Amino acid sequence: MAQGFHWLIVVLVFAQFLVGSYAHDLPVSLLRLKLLTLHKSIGVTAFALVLLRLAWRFYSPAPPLPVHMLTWQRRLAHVSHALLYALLLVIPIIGWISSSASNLTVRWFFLFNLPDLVGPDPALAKSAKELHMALAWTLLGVASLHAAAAFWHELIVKDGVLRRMLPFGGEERP
Amino acid sequence: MRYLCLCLILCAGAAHADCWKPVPSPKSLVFSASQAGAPFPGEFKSYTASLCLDPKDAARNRLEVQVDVGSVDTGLPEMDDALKGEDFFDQPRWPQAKFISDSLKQVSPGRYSVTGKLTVRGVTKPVTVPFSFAPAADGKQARLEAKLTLKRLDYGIGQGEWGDTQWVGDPVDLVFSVNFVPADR
Repeated sequence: MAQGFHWLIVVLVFAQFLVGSYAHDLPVSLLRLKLLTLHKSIGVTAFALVLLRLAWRFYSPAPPLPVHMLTWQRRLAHVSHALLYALLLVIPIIGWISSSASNLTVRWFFLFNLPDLVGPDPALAKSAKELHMALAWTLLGVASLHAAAAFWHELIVKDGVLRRMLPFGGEERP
Repeated sequence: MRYLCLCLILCAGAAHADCWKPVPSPKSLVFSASQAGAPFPGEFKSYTASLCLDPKDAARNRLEVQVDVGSVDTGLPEMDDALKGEDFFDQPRWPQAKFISDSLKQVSPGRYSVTGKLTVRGVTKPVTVPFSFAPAADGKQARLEAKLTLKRLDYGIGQGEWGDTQWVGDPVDLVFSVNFVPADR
């Protein structure tokens, strides 16, 4: 369950990077409207999945880290995981603020509208959008560190930490 | 301005007509379009209007409105620029939208119905708009409230790809909520 959420969120966030950065560079056009609407709909979905995964984590805590890990490694792991969750929750909210400030109500896949968080405000829209993008790049950085650590566990330490996160690698749980 | 002068002349000729001019204020001429199924509101900040009502001779009643389409404000600067461009209002070519009444009748106390020609982006179509107009007791101020729904594509607002009504809705609601003062006579 936790693995399923994890990989689904990875796929959605990756799509968000592609769609968001491509649409950002387009002039005002129907394609831009379509892509940004898709970006917002995926963003709402990913946000909900992150909340669900956190709830699941609370209900079914993650297995402990391997005993051989040093204190600084444990700290780094905890901090980076907390940072990943924080960014995954904050980035869509900042995007939502940016969209509201741009006078563009967020609509989820043509089904329902999200309430506007703020009124139209071009200056706020601009700074929120810049923050949204800066945090997205930060997320990419932390996620890269996270992935590098996973490969370090798999290839150097060989403690099965990566394998226990794979959808069908459950038997490796320590 | 030309129309305002024209009306002033006409109104001066009409002994009993009371003519009014608007006091433009924020959010007095707003519209609500839609994007991706969600509302997309905005307003026009610059317009002129002239309303003349003759209690004795309805044939002398007159309403004229001119809107500077370049004053469109959606709170999204890049969209405002796009709206002024060729695909939407084509402001360099058609800087103003105009309404000129053909007939204006009172339907009940404080309630009127005006029929006239609306010209937007070079396209003229007949429209009928019910509105309320209520002068204050001192006669120094009056409030006009009107609502109408237009189809933007009737006027070519949205050329080419912007004709896609799933993503950019065809109906656009217009709401006028304007304070008028007596025009100088």
